[in-house]
Amino acid sequence: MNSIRLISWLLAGLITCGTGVALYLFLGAPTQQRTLHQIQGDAVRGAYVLRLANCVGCHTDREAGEEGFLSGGEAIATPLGTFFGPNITSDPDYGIGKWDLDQFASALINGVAPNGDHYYPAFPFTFYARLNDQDIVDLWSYMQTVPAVGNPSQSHRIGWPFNQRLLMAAWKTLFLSTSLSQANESRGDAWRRGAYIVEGPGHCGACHSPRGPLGNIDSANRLTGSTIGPDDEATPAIDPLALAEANWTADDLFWLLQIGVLPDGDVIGSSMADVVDDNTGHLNDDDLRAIAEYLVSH
Amino acid sequence: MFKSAKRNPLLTASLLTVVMMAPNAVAHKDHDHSKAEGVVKERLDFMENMGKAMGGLMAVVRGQKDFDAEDVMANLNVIHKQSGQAITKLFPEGSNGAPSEALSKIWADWDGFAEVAGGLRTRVESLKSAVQSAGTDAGAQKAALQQNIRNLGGGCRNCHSEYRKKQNRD
Ligand code: HEC
Ligand code: HEC
Ligand code: HEC
Repeated sequence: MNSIRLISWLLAGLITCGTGVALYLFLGAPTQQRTLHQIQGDAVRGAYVLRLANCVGCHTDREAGEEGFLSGGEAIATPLGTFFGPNITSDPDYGIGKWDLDQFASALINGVAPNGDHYYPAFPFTFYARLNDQDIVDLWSYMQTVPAVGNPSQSHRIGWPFNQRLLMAAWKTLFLSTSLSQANESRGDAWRRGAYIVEGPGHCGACHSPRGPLGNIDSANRLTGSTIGPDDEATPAIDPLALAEANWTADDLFWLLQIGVLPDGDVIGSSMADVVDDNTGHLNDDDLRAIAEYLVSH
Repeated sequence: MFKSAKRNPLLTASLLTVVMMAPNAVAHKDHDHSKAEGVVKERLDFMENMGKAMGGLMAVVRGQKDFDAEDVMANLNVIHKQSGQAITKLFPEGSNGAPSEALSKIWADWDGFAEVAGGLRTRVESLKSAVQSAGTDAGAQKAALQQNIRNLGGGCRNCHSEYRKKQNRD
């Protein structure tokens, strides 16, 4: 996915800034500690969280049929190489069957592997950092029920120096925000739920937000569209102003997200069609209404 | 210019200033058919017609229009008639390029393209029979439409996701 293009910008930035500053950056990546063990997990809710966060989209090969579920995704082409969402089934050797809850949580919210390696933000952990405790625990309960598939993850195809994961530590120091609360107390429950989904697990901004010079999400202009979206395709602005200008109503958005039909009867395409297939088309009406409400009024 | 920038982060960085001054958003605008001709124009009109039929069905599903069995069937018949080979025959090899939004993948993966075109047919047939087997009760017929419209929308999405890329219509 496009979110990786940022790494090339990161590198360019690092080279330009000078090695001294860069070295400093490697030390400060923020990490969240969560206390999760007291929380009871619910695998059925977890299956829903999987859809809410669209884990399927990057970790399943559409061509592979049912046995391919979560056992490794299709190629994600980026400026520095090609990434593959790894096997995240419960297989102990090829998947994450040997992991524990804390390791799983740390991968999602800190972008850190059990061995301490830093993940590339092709894995949208900057958004998952906002996952609430219950959703993480439920998702983990579900993940343990995913049938093991003994399918080795494909290695990313990245050349030097991009293959140096340590660079990601510096990037995180700059751009991984651990701020959890998108809540605005003056808004209703539905709006707050919508904010959580859009800015957190739903990671709509991964494609719909412009990016800064180092590939970071330009948070001041969140959801205002991106010139360089997935597959070099521009993504439309979905901020309240743009939506109002194009006469989108919350009800229009609800139906687009559920079925993929635009207000004029045209049907959405490109990567957004996959988002509807794997992600929003699986959500309940309340959540879809919440997303729509947040989009038109945040 | 992005082809080379793709492989060269430093170039990308220097191009960034330019990129960041470009407009960020793509507006959703109707596709202007007047610049299209021949088979491209034909299929844009064909698809637009399909969109109108879908829009008509959606208006009923969304409660903006009362359920009228005849009207709903007419729209389903449009989509039925315009599925399968009716679609594929409008895509002679290489008939893309502006103003068309069709991707070359159509011809690189012709079997896949034909399969999703046929898939739309299967889906609209099953929606038609669901409405028909709901009897003459408008409430039950409407419920059948509501239950199956997602599946029909999937028939359109399956193709638009792989074989079409919307162009900037500003
Ligand atoms: C936009 C694509 C994308 C989405 C969405 C996504 N992932 Fe990933 N994921 C990746 C990529 C790419 C990697 C590999 C990152 C790396 O190697 O640095 C990865 C890595 C992982 C890993 C580490 C696996 C290992 O062997 O180290 C886990 C666990 C994981 N993802 C779980 C999830 C879960 C759970 C979700 C949903 C909440 C999810 N992912 C959503 C792309 C994605
Ligand atoms: C993988 C990238 C990606 C993700 C993630 C994504 N989108 Fe999109 N979205 C797109 C693309 C590309 C389009 C344009 C599709 C087209 O017109 O063919 C689009 C179009 C849209 C549109 C239509 C806007 C218009 O004016 O036509 C809306 C609304 C939308 N997305 C909402 C969302 C929401 C809400 C989320 C999060 C739940 C989301 N998107 C996540 C890529 C993405
Ligand atoms: C087998 C592939 C396929 C299927 C199935 C399909 N489409 Fe399309 N559609 C396309 C392609 C390709 C284009 C772009 C054509 C072009 O620009 O040359 C398109 C374009 C469109 C357009 C835009 C026309 C314009 O004015 O630019 C609309 C509206 C549309 N489709 C509606 C639908 C609806 C509604 C369905 C389902 C009922 C559907 N399509 C099913 C392939 C398909």
